[in-house]
Amino acid sequence: MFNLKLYKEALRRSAFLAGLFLAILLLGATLLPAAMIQSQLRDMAHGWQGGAVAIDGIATNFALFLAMPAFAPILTLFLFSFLNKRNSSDFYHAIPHKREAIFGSFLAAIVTWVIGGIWLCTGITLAIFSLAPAGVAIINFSSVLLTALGITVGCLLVIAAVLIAMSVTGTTFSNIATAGLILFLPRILLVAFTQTVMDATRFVISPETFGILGDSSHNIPFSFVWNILSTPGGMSDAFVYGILYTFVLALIYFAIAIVLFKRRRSETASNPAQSSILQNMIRIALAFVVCIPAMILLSVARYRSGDNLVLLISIYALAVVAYFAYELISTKKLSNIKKALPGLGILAVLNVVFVVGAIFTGNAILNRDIPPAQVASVRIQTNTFHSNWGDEHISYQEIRAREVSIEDERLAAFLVETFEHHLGVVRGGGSFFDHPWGNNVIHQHTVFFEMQNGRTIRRNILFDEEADRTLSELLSTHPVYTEAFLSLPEDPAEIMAHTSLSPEAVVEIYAALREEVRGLELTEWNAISRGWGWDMAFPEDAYVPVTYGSLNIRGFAGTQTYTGWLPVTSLTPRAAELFVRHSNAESRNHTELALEHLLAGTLTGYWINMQSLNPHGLVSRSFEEWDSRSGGDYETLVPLLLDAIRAQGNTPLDAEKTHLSIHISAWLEEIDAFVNATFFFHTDNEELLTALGWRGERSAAQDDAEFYFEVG
Amino acid sequence: MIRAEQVTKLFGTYPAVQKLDCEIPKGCIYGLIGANGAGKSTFLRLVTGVYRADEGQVTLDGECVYENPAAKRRMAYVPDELYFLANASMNRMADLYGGIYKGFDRARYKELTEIFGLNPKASTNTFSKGMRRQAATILALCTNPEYIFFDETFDGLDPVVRNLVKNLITEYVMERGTTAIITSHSLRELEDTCDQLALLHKGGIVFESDVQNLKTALFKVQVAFLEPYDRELFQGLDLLDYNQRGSVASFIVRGDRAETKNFLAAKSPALLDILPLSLEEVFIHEMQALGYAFDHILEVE
Repeated sequence: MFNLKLYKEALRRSAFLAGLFLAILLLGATLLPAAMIQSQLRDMAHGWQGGAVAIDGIATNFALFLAMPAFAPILTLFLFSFLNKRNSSDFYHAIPHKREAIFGSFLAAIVTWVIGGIWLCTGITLAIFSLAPAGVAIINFSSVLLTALGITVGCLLVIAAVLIAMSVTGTTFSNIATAGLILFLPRILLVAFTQTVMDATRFVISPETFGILGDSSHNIPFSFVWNILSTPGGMSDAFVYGILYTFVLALIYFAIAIVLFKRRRSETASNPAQSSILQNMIRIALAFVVCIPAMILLSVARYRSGDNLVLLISIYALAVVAYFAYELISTKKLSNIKKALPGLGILAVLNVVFVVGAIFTGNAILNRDIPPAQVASVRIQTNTFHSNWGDEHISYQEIRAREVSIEDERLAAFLVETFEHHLGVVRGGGSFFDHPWGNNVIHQHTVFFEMQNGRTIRRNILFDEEADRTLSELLSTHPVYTEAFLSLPEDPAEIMAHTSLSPEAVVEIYAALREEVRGLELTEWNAISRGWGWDMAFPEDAYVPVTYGSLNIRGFAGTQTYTGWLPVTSLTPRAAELFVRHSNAESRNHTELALEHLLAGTLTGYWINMQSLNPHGLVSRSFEEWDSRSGGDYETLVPLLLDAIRAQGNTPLDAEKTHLSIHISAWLEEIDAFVNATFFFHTDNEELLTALGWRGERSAAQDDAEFYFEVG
Repeated sequence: MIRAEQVTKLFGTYPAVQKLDCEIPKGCIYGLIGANGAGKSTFLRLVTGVYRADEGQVTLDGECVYENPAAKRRMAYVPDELYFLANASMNRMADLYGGIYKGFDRARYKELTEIFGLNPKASTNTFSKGMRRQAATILALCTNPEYIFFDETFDGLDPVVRNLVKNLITEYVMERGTTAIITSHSLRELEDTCDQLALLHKGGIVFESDVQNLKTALFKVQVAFLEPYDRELFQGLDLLDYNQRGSVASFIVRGDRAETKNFLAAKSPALLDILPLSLEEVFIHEMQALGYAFDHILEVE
């Protein structure tokens, strides 16, 4: 299975290519952290950064991204390329070593380079961050090491897939095409099928409904490609399972690869595939991938308006072109076109199977009843706006609250009833996504019905405003759930404010906020912490809290990264008072200086936002350098503003009075820094309010606002 | 001894070698001739364990060759398409061979590269075709094989290089008692090197013989009689390719030369000449006797 001399020979032969990749990884491992540390130190020096940057996952070395798509496959293709040429294939098959010894020794060389490279670079990066000045970076070692492990097993799977492909095909083109199919086709089909079924059920189910088959994050190489444009660094519990899943899959693939390698016919060299049957399979599989959009269209045709005939014909024409193009490119024989024709029939049958299967599965899910009497308990993930972007944006409260299992017949009956109402809409061909926004706001929450037979049925359910309020009220009667939902993490890795605040001030504000949130009503925190449209979940006559600012947090709950947007409102008066006090203390000078430069016409790159803070709503006015329409009469406005700010001085803000805030983002030449200042102040100066456009004749700004501004 | 028993190798449905039987005794230089596509290279790949036979098996001293490192360790193979690592020098190739073959003889390697004037540090990419053949042959011989196989090794080489390579092989074989199989599509390349010759056609050996026998077993006779006669006069002789023009008849006889001469002399011919045949002529007549048109199945130069 292994021969030391062959291993050394393979290492020697691949040294140049591997060295090139290692050099790139090492550059990434050293330069990127150094640049991050330098940037962080600069930000801290200018007071732009509220705390240490959290280092997790791939953030340590973006160059490691190259390991899976480039390093591992290219090195494998290079070292096993002897299989693709007749002379080299004959040479290695004639030498006095068993085929498994050649396979094992060459594979060991690839694994040495790839794994060695990944872990060497990870170690170097961690060492650099560890040596950084205190307070610059907080390293989540488990996340970094798990990411390196994830990339390692991902590389192993890629290597194994390439080896399977190289064992059954004999040209670089067919190697790559087949490896791509082996790596991605099963998951592409699963994703296409689950997405189609989800679409066919109008998204009452999630990919997670399909268990391990529906969760693409388990397959690390696929997940990598699938999320290529998503923010790196996010890691969920699924990633840990993904490592195990990918590793087991890689082992299975290696076992298949070695069997096929041993059985490989040397004459396959220079031929696209080992047999004509295999060549047919590859060609059909490639064309089948192209057919997927058409199959999805056909599966959900009943929900789609408009004629897709032209699109369908175009997709199928493209599939046929891909079908014959592969044959021509791989065999370079025009005469093979005729031989390939019968395979189109198989392709058509596969399309029919997919479409019929998706429709049948979708209908089965929609027709599945959830009898309330059989629901033992429920778990609920009340999704925020952020978590709708994906699991990497999940909040701490969502992570904790969704684990709380609630046994409540009334709640279960309400959820089933709401779900049935939702299904009624879906069966009628509608979707909750079709509901209008505006005053008729729809919330989507994920409900886990834990049935008495031990099974869990997961459904995404639509809640209108009234149903959402009822849900909040029902949930608020469960202290365990309430406690989980109102708990903010004790020590997040990162706490950042939207305005300039010292790290100490941010920590103090967060501590007060955390304490006060614990004492809020569930409905209150639920309403304001959703990130947007917070006022919508409040009853019409309710007191709407004034928002002074917000903190952003990021940290790790186990292996999962959470993020959070935490508003600082009048509902948490202690945190609000601290926020205003610290912000005013730190921003006053910069605000005045910026306004003086604005008056003098020397302020550059500025964006100024004025807000009235009152319990009836929000009125705001912005001024920015690049938008001439936003320009105001600065000669009148700025002196009035400066007077109001100076009058406020260091006097504490009276929370009972209506007040204004001014936020300035601008480059201040004088201090050679970009300022990000927020100052809060009272005013009853009618002249100032008029200059802001909030008095006198009703302005366009007022028309946009829901409430007319009224001062004390 | 190399033994092939009912060996068949299919490429798809095409039989490159079909029901092939042969035995190659130890110490023999076995020449395998045949036209392009006759199955020579396929046969060598079966013998060297590169291919697995679809039917039958190839054994080396009774051991199956395929996936048998012990058997493969005793053999070296110089294929028609030579393999050198990209941009590798001979020294680099020697390192490769040294890592693969335990018995690689570095001293002999050094000696042979010097004798043949090959620069061991130069890239083999800069070598001519003949130099590459020499280099591959040297590398193969330095593994000290008991069995060595050359596929079209002499074909396309100029006479000087061809003789150099031939001498290298024959010296080694004579010295060590090695068994060799040499394939060619040209009989002339093999007639002065091989002990035994076989003709491969459509994947099967259609004719096999000892070279010395071949050269003596057939001979040409020219004979004339004053009285009228026909073929019946020579009843008792094994005649091939009989021609008669007037009183002069010429024919090929398979048999003992002295006995034939006595047989013909007893009939008081006016003219009697017994002439030797070239190996190529022997092949042509033997093949014709078997019902094959020789020039259709072998390239006659």
